[in-house]
Amino acid sequence: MNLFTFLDLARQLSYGVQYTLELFFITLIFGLPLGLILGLIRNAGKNLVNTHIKILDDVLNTVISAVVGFYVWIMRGTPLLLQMVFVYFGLAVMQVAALDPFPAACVTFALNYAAYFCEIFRGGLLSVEKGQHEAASVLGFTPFKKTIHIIIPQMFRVCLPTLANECITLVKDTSLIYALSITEILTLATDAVRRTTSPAAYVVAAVFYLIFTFLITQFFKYLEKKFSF
Amino acid sequence: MNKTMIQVAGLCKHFGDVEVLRNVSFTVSKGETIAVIGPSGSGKSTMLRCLINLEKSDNGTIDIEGKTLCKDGIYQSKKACRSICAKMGMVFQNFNLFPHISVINNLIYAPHFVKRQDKKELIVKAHEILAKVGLSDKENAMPNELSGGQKQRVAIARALMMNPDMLLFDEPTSSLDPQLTGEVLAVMKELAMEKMTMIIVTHEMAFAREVADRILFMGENSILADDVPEKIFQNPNEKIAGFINSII
Ligand SMILES: Nc1ncnc2c1ncn2[C@@H]1O[C@H](COP(=O)(O)OP(=O)(O)OP(=O)(O)O)[C@@H](O)[C@H]1O
Ligand SMILES: [Mg+2]
Repeated sequence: MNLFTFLDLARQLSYGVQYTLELFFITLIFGLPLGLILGLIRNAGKNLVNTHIKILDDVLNTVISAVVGFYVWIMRGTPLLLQMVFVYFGLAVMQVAALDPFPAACVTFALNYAAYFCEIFRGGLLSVEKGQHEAASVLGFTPFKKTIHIIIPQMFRVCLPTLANECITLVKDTSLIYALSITEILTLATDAVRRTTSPAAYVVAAVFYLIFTFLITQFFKYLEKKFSF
Repeated sequence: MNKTMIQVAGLCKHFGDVEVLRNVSFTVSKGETIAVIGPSGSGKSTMLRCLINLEKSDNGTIDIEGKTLCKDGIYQSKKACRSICAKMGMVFQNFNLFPHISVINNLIYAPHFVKRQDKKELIVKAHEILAKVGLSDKENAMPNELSGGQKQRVAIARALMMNPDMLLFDEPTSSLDPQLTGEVLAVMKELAMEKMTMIIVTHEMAFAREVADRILFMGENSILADDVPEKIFQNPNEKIAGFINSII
């Protein structure tokens, strides 16, 4: 493969980069906040709802926590690819919703990754010492303000390495939308391989993913440094 | 007699089947420095944590500055409890500074976010309090850049920023080297001379004897003696003498 063919292939594949990038950022934009909310709910456990009526609190807390637990179990316990084809084909067959391939992929990815982020954040929340909660509460922080100003910033720092890992997995998972015939990098690379009867396009695709994951790694290194304490 | 700041009557506390506090009663007046001593596991920390609502008592009554935190084990609403306990500051054995923010932010976060006080004024006030605890040069340091004694002085400064009427200390020097202990005790001594109302759980007998107006001796889950230091140290009963000898 000479430089010219490499650049030519890179140009062809670059039309698919758009979908990869869009899916990546949409998943993070919706998946991270949803995951954080779910993580906070799971972490709050018995202290989530507080109506002063003990039985009502117990019932609501148990139900909410079970629902979130069930959601996480389903999302992490079944393949992302299966979830995606279910949202795309399954819902259409059931005449529930007929989504275009790309929106279907975005919805599935955001919901799926939210479950993983939920567990990452829950781990981070657990790692914040009990003394931090006590110090904040003694200083008069309400549980909400304590979470925002004291707990989440500390949790975030702890979660960064795992989040970096998850983002790298996400980059590679974006290639799954190949199954919905979306013209992302892998689809275009396969087309090119068929046309040129050479696997060079796959190498070029690999380079794209490598560059992308390298940039993510660097970005997280920067974040870890910035938020170190 | 000065105004009553804390009145505890019949306080009881269990952790599961373990009885930790049995019928604890005492009163603290304004300006008093109370030292709480006693063997490990006698419930000193638990008693202190009940006062500031970090533990819930099972039974008994706690009045803070005339306001009832709990009566016969029944608590006020969370909001009411928060406002009653806002009169008190607490200093922990292991400091519990917020590690992700600088010293000055540790001082101004709570008054800024909880009481919505003006940041500029808080910074001026923080400088005064940092000077008082001898840490003017550390305002921009992160907590993990400080020695244990410095951390504890920041923790005291942080509590003072909320203008508390009372301070509770749970073994503030127990995780410090002897040299660093002195600098923290000096700050506490100054507060005692300014007539800050304080309850100090401590194993520093010399400090308790010198600074405290009264000593509570806890053992077997309740208060076995409540008296001025001279009485406690000069004519100790059998149990107190045993305890004092065991730690010297
Ligand atoms: N959260 C808890 N759950 C169960 N048991 C507890 C808890 N906290 C304290 N205890 C028990 O309560 C008893 C009193 O503990 P506490 O910490 O109040 O004692 P202390 O007098 O402060 O002792 P020390 O001098 O060692 O700090 C101990 O037997 C301890 O094991
Ligand atoms: Mg203790």
